[in-house]
Amino acid sequence: MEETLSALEPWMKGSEVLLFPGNYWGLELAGRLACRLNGSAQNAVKRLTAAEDHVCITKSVYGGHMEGTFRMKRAPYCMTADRGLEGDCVVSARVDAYHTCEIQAQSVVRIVGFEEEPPAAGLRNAERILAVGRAVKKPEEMEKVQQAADAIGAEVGCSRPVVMTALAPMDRLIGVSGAMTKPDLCIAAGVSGAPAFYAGVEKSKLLISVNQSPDAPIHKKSDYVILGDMREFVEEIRAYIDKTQRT
Amino acid sequence: MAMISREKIVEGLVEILGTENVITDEQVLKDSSIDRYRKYEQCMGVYTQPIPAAVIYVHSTEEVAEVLSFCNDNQINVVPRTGHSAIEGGLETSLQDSVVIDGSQMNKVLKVDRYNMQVTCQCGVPLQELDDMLREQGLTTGHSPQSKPLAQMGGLVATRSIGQFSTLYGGIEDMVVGLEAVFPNGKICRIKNVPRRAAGPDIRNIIIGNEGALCFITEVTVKLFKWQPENNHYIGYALDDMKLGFDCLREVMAEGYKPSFARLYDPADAAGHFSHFLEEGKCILIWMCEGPAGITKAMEAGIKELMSKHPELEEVDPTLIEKWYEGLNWGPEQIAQEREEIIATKNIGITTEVSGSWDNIYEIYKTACDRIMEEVPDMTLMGGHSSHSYINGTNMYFVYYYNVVDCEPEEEINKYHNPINRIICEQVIKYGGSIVHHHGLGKARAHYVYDEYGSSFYMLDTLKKAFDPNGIMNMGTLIPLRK
Amino acid sequence: MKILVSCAVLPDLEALASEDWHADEQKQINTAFAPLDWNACDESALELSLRLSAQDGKEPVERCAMTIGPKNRERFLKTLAALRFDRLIRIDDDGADLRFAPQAVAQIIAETAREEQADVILTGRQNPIGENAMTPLLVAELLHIPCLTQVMQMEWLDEKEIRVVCRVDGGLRTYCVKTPCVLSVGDVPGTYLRVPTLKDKMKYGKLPIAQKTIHDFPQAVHCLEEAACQLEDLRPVIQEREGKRIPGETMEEMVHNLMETVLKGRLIQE
Repeated sequence: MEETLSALEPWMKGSEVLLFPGNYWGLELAGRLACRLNGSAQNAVKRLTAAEDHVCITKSVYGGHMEGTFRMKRAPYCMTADRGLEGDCVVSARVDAYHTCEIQAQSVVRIVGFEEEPPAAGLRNAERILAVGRAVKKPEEMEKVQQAADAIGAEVGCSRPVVMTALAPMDRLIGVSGAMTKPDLCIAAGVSGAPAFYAGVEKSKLLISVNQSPDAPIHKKSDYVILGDMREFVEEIRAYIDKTQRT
Repeated sequence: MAMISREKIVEGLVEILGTENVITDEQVLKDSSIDRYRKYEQCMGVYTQPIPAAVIYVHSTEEVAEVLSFCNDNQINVVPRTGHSAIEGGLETSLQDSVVIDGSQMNKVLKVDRYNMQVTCQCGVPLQELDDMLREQGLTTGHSPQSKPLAQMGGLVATRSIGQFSTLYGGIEDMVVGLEAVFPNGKICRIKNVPRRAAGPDIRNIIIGNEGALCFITEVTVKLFKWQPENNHYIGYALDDMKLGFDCLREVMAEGYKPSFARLYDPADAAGHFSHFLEEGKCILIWMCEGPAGITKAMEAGIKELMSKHPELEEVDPTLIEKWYEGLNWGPEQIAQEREEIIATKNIGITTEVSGSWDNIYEIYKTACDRIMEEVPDMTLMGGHSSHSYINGTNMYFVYYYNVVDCEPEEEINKYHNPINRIICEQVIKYGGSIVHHHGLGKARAHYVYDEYGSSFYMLDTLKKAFDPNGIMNMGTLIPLRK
Repeated sequence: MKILVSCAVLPDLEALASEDWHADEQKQINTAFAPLDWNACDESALELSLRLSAQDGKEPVERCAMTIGPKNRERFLKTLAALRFDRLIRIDDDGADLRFAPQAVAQIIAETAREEQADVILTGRQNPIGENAMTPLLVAELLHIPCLTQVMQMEWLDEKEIRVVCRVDGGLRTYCVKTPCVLSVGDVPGTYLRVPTLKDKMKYGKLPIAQKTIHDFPQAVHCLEEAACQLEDLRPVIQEREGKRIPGETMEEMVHNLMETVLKGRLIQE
């Protein structure tokens, strides 16, 4: 890091806005360079607007419950992009200059090992989950659920009644006595949405509920609702994927 | 002991219920051999109780009758279960080759009778779902135990449970109207729904609190109340002295007020909830008034007037109490985090709750805490609170945490949990209180039943012998197993 | 060998209901009724500092903890006393708004580290209120020492060097770093602070807490006055789930609409 900072510093002088990737490396660079260049720094920026003599940025604060808008008053304005930024990126800026810096190694910090972390397995780290509940009553139905999950690239999770009737192994349990998940997408099918289960999926970025009963509590706590039989849903979504892949 | 083998037990049950309702999966069986009494063992994935032969799911009263007859004929120990939230060992399968009868799939709300202000449900109806549904209609059961996210109606009645608002609404025994239960010989008994009767002893109380040792509860009717939280008023005071705190609780009750919520926390327990505004070393008194607007307002004024006579009390901003109350229930997230914390820190928190009269409750509290601090190693927190008051006494909810040091998971209960329970029970018996206010005797405290009952044990024993002559109903609960 | 842990005690943000999330005229959120607890990553830092000290055969280690906050934070420091921390410092913020002022906070930590002659400065990655993740980096800049971030594990190599495992982009990297250094701790599973016994609390809990105020750190005050960033606006993030019904007469139609509109073919395996 020190080597990189020393190498970059002379090149960054005179710049006004310095954008860094929203990863660990980018954050360290942004923070420390801003200090050396007597500028200002912000992490995980969601929006940026520029004015004559300052820039304004918006970012998450208070644990994601609030959004703060800050005026950065000292150039260079160093910032990292928020990892969760979505949307199409249209790169239309002109690249004026392109430098390569040579880095001299030093001995205060030595790297002595590196291990690639394999993508973490299991429900807790799953990005997509198909969670089913007591609407599933037979092993054959559970098989269809697994097939649908495979088709959409999701892990199968269950509410307590499903594992307690041994339709799925205990490690598929979602909720207070099982896995607390945080997937990008969770489809909760045939689950009523009791608190003990829901706590395990409430951090899902996108939550879709499928349940025949319009009064199922889960429908009030999901982003999108499908009123219908989860067994039909499981069949239809698999058919849809099959059809789309064939064409 | 069962007269037939495990395989024969399973065969017989499959014949009655079909294979999909008879579970013999190893993980399910292990999970079903215990309840939350062995919290530490469970977190560590250790199972020391006999593994049951099967967990079965019943769907009708008739099925329960058939299954119980079969078990009775073959002397198979049976453990009735619904929500699986018990914390005193009541659900442990203490005999070899037991069968757990799970009623959680009997989960229909049969009738919401608004005019008669009662609701009838099957045993497997989750209380949270029932009360959420009722609240949308402006009604409530008034029953709000901390186990609400998990508990179901059958178990709540079987354990004589009590909720946070009991000082106004009463315990489950005050809420139950009628019942249906099945006895070991297959006999189905229905007690009809009437507001009161004097046609002999109140036989509902054979069922309420039986902890699965006498029968299996299949259906419950409970009263309904109007849900009017907009009229709630909150009162709080900080103080130094627990004895004064108990006296204040008593004053409010003796004067004739019925707040829905009446609590006194000692400094150790208070620190876990109120440290953001309560000074270290202080106790706190809390009341909540619930009900029609005129009443709650008058009650608030009345309680405050009573308390104004005690200069040692410092009033607490009611908004702080209101906010605390809103966050009170067993957050499911906290349950999940608790497990991880226990595994990481080997520090575990347990509770034991007892009851006493106004003139002995402070001694019970003080001497139990002192003895535990003296006699049990590695304690990290020892305290408690009172949360259910009556005209003639109150309960004491001991809260204690300890580090599990140099101890295998299966030994934790003998090194810490049981000795603490023993000390509390000894002190309670000494001063004349009851060793269990609302969690149930379970198996954890069953061996104190003789001291608890004294000469009236004859009545409990006779009930057990009469209704369960073959000794198949949740053996070890209420009456300890003969060694 | 001296470790300085900078830790914060915060209101539990999850205790606030959605209607509590609105800023007042001073752009403050009222969190007075929320229970207090350790900042999670600071708690990890504290626990890791205890594990580091427990290693046998090395020089005796002195542990100092500092926190910036009002008097009611002191009961948390007393827990650290019971856990045998050697020195405790509380710096009263005197009402200063330090939520979004990592430079000011870094000045206080750096100055304290200098005074205490700390070999290792351990702190959590960020405070969830400010979410700036800058403070540890700025401390390192002020002291001209290295900073390693996303620290997962640490062990002494000898009195001047530590082996540290950090999460980096793509994996786990092991470093050997010479002291003095700043170690910033992120999410480390299973690092809840151990619990002292009541007997230890009685025996060691009376360690006096050194009291300072922000005015003892003129550089920090200066940073606040000449802040590089200024809060202009604070708005709640609407987090309600809308429960929008997917239209369709049959399940086939509903699935089709779901895939075409909401999931936009996201589920198709490549």
